[in-house]
Amino acid sequence: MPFLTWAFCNSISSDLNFNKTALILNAWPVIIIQAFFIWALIHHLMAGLRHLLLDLQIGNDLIVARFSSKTVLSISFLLTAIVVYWV
Amino acid sequence: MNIKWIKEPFGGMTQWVYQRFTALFMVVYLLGMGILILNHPVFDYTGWISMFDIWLVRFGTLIFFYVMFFHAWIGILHVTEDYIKNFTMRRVVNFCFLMMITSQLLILSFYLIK
Repeated sequence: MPFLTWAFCNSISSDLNFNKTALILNAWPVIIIQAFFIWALIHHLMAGLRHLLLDLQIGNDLIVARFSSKTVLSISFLLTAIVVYWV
Repeated sequence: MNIKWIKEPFGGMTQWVYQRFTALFMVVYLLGMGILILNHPVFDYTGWISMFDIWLVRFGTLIFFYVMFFHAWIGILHVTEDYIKNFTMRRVVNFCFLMMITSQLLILSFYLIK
């Protein structure tokens, strides 16, 4: 999180800082780290949505719940791949 | 007068509700920003800055960070309560996280409020 804050503030502060930040963020070791955190975020997001639905009494049956948990696991990998590829 | 509410403003149920509503806000924000970024040239500085010149985007981003750190703070409280048994140690860790969160919020506010 501190790194993200630093990168964001830098990127909106000035032209030079934006280019510096972009250079660091586009280095391949950083991209791997980013991919991991993007996966973590997307997984958390998907699992959170699933829990919100469970709170609304949707998908409480065992079969549906197992299916949705597996869907969350796989979809988050898929979305991560798409996001990393896109950026 | 309800003393319990004053002593413990962030009781379990309140935290639960806060987590859900902050989560909903963040989902909406992320979807909106995703759509905006796909329709906006953000790969150079002028494009990136022009996106944050939109009043709603700037304001929404600020609110997003506040809401996200609040969400994270409640999450951290729960994790430390579950895994750090020692009371003093837990308070120290919580304090460190709180300092980290507030300092980042101050910095972000400084950059986002013009």
